[in-house]
Amino acid sequence: MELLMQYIVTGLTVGSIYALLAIGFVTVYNITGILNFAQGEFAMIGALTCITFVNAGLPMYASIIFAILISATIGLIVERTAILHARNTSVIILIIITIGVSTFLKGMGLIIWGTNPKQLTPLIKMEPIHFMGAVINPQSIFIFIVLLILLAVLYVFFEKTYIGSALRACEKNPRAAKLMGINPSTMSALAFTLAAALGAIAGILITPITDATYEMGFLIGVKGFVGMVIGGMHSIPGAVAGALLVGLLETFSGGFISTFYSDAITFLVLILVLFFKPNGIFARASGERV
Amino acid sequence: MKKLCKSICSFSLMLILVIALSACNMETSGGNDKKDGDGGKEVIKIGAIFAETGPASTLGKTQANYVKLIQKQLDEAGTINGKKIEIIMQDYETDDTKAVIAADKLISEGVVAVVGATQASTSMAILPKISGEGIPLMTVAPVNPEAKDIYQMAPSNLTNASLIIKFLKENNISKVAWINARDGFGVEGLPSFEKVAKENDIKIVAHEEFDATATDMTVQLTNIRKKNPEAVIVWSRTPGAGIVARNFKALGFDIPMIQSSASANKGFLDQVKDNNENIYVIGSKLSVVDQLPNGEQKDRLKKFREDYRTMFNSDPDNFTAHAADGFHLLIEAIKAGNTTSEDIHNYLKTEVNKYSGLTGSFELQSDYVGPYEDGFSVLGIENNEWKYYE
Repeated sequence: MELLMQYIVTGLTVGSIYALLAIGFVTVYNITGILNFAQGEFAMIGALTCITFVNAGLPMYASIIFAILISATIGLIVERTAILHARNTSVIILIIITIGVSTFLKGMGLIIWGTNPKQLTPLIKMEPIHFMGAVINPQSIFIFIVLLILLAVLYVFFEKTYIGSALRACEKNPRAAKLMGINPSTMSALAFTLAAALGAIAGILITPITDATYEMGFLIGVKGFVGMVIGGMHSIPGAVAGALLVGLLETFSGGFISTFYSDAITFLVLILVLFFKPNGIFARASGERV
Repeated sequence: MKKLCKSICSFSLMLILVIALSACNMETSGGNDKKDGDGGKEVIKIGAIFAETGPASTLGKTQANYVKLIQKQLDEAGTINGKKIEIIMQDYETDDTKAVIAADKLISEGVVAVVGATQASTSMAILPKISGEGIPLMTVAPVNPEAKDIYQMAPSNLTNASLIIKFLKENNISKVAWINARDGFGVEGLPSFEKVAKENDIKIVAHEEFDATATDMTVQLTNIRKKNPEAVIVWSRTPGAGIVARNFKALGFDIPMIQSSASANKGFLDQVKDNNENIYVIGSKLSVVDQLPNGEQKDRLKKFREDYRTMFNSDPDNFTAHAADGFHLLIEAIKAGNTTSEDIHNYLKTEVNKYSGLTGSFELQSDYVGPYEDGFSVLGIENNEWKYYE
């Protein structure tokens, strides 16, 4: 029982980290149709700039806001310089561009911050919590709360506001959106800015648990992406559920089978999902597929 | 219009490339001129291949710095037997391919010996080229002990393993758990440890793996706890190494955790801040110079640190010491009158008996790979600083 509890807690902790990344993936994908593989690097930039500000003596909250703003600006610059000019080429080229951007940002991170892991004190400093024999890191509860808030805010933004609907319209049918007076190019810029800001929030939140290095973005980015594919590419709640599932899969396979195979098992599940439910297990059937 | 734009773009890109390339050439040919115009003195060249830039620069940067330091010391000391020693440094940017090109370049420059490379994989990549020319290679990384014609300045995994065994025996521990990162460094440690542990009746009751950049190792540690070990040994670089230590504390383990030499750095100390009792790391005595008992070794390490501090305003580390030992051994060989690659090979293979280096003492003619364990110790942490136990 204790073991089971510990695996669930750890799985949800790890899964919520992936979920934060998955949200950013879905946001860009929903609006532009691009898989943004630089999402993990936005998390890295957010985390490391925040640490830089804190070390420079700025108060915590100000550092967090500045770090999010700077990351969002970098997201905007990336879109305006790397994505905009290739806007009319095929999606696969755009995806490859984001891989290039990811490598570039990682390289810059290495040059600016070096290889040593950097620490960030959590907003709420507490001892680990013991609950039914399992140990819970207080920061992971905090991550969970923020995750729920983000879900609610993004739901309202995309479903209830004019600009949110405009953003969604761009992905559903760019041509029709254009005819309705929506500029897909502006919306794409907005999508990347938003995704970079979400990435930065993710990076800042997870750093108290994992520490920040220039290479932190890759693994969590890939896992977040897997979560998104398993949960459904189009829905933010689906992607979050998928990411949590990936976290649980990892810990349960690591705990009950072997940590040597936990990654292999996660990817096996991914392949099975792609075989049997290519739209993701949480996707509702829609009339769009031909 | 678009096509024109594209061709202008690609043309200017080409132009920049050409200019950059010619600038590189100019730099090297400029260097050559200086050497030739050195008053007709005979020059002996030693090559150095270090990762001054790129991800491995954490290790390679201070090694590259050391080249400047030792060149200055050599210039100040004047000539050796009427000959001037010149070190040609090549940065391989943490890229094995670039290292092989650098090796070619050094060979064409006519170096008598090479010190490098920073990483084990790179050392193995340049070894065939360099040993093919009969040039001695002093590697600063722990390479495959089977490799021939290579002199290892870094401690081997076997040396590290015997240090841990010594620590375990002193603390009456006979059951240990092993956990390592799933990368080149992480998976290399266990085979050597298994061998030494078997000889010393120490049981490895659990073995777990994790990704060096993973976010949480609680599951692995929970699995380990089920087996009731008396100590946990971690073989990983940072950040994984620090996160394991943190999870270990959160789960409330009260047994010692012993970490590899990859954790013997400031980055790890910062990671485990305030959570570091019962954590031990295999570290170089260089990082605890001031706590060492007075003696020759302390003086030697202290002088090395002071020399480096004066020039670069920062501290050298273990990896700097490996590079320094490589250069010192070669300079010893040249001082003894060996000026060709073949003579240096012979000298290193037959004459180096108990050479006291910065990393530890070397006995190159024996089968023992790398320095002996006397330059290392299992260090504890006290007030967020390394603590030396005698």
